[in-house]
Amino acid sequence: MLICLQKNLTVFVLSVICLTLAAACQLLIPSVVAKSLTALTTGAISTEVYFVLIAIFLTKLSTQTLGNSFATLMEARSRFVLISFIVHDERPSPLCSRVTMIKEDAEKIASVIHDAIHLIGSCILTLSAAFILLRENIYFFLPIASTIVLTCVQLRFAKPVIQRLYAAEMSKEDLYKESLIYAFNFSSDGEQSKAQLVRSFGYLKGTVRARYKYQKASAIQSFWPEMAISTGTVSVIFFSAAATPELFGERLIACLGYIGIFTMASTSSIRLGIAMIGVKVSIDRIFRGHRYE
Amino acid sequence: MKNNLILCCFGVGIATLTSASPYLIGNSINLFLGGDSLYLYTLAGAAFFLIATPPFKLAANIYLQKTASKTRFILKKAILNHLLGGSFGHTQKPGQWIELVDGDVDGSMYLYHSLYFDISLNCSIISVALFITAFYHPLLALAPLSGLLYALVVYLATRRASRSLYDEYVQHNTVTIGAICEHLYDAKPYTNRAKLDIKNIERLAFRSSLKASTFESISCSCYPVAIVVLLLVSAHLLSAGNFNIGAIFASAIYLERVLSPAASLISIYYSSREASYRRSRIRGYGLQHERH
Repeated sequence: MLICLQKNLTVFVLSVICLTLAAACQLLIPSVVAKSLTALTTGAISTEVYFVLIAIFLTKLSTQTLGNSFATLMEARSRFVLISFIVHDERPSPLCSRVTMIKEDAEKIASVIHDAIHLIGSCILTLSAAFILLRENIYFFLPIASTIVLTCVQLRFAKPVIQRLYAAEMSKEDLYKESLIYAFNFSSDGEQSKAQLVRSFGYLKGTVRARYKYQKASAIQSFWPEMAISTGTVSVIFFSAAATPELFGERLIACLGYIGIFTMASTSSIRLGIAMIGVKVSIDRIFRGHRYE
Repeated sequence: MKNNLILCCFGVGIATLTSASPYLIGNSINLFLGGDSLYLYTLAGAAFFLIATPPFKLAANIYLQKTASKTRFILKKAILNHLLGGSFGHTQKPGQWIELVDGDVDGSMYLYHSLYFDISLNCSIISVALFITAFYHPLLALAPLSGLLYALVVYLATRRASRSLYDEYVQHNTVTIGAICEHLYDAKPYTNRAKLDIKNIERLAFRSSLKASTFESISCSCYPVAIVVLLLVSAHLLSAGNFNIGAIFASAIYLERVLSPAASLISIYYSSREASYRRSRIRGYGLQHERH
């Protein structure tokens, strides 16, 4: 992926800056809204409050728009940088593998780069939400710490399974693409074309099944951290109700909002982490130990 | 049809589970502060919903993947039959054919099943949150409704322009991938023409995304619109003296619960424009299995 970053550093930095600014504005919004409502109830509301609110929203929306567009440009450029490498790589490789690399591997790597740019904003949200939760209620420390540790351990154990399933999908794609190339070449020859088409359907079935297995495994691996977060939340709520009644009130309701942000952001981070584990196989397939990897 | 109906049921179920737990926790706190021992049962109910949500989501996700993989196979098989059956012109290059079969089916797969799940999930969350906001005070529902109305007006105003956002990009991409595969078959480096085509696609990708994101941002401005309406309505209710501060803060939380899924729906609409164009190409073949 280094080659993609090297060749598009400016676009990458611009998209990250824009999306980070958008995430910062997103974090500011709840507190600005709360201040506006407090000012309203005390009768101290002024037009300045409305201007600040609108300015923050406009900054968030404009930086998000630019960030999204730069991230898409980065994705497109990365895809074509990888395709160019595949086409001009002089090391021997079967034609069907190269077509699969162009159509599947390069697209998947570029898509992960696009998502990784967005992940930076997601990480800021996860960390900020975790910090706010700990500041509001220190009893969240144990569930948050256990969730992070368990997720890291689980991803470590999940890595070989995910990579094996991803590699299986790609090898089936190779066979399917090869059969397609033959099928298109024989398309003018009736009998041979039919036989090749039947073969292609067989490979297509294998590819679709392999992709389903990979996606199912990814969904199951993403499920455990989500379950850990839910269990942690329940344990903190019960602990607050039983042992610390002073925390079982409005403060807990405020915490629930941040738990929502934490769950959402950490779930998308884990999903991307799992996608990155799979895509590592694609990077190895394309570069095969080349220094750019 | 049946599969999408089941996915819609999953969406409604998940929306109910996620909406019910904060409501039950809030009630449990009220009971606790009122000295009612029933608070523990309400809390247990909330805990059950919190714990049940991830397995339910996983079940929905696996069902979705299973259904999508069946449709993927049926569609690709039908397109291959169509393309190689002789009813399609033989002017395309193999790379272009592969892009038409795999690129279009994989690129539009979201619209066949996931879309139904996402729409039912978000619409259910919006309905529940709107109902609870109106329960506090009917006038407070004006804020989220004005946000939704604004988003609807923007959607209607940009609908025509957003339909063709990715058409040019997808068309050029298909042709260029076909040309690149030709370079691969002939073992030749890129020509200047190929380099220019690639630059053109990168430009088209940026331009299409910029337009789609701009439309999305204009639609998502429904949030400040709704907040301003909420402040104005709250000021009116407070001056009339028939309203409490807690209800205003609660309605601000539920405003977020209405507009957050609304923003997801807006995002789904604009980000699925490329998929929509790809599906229209598949529909253009007039396949028997396309309705699956």
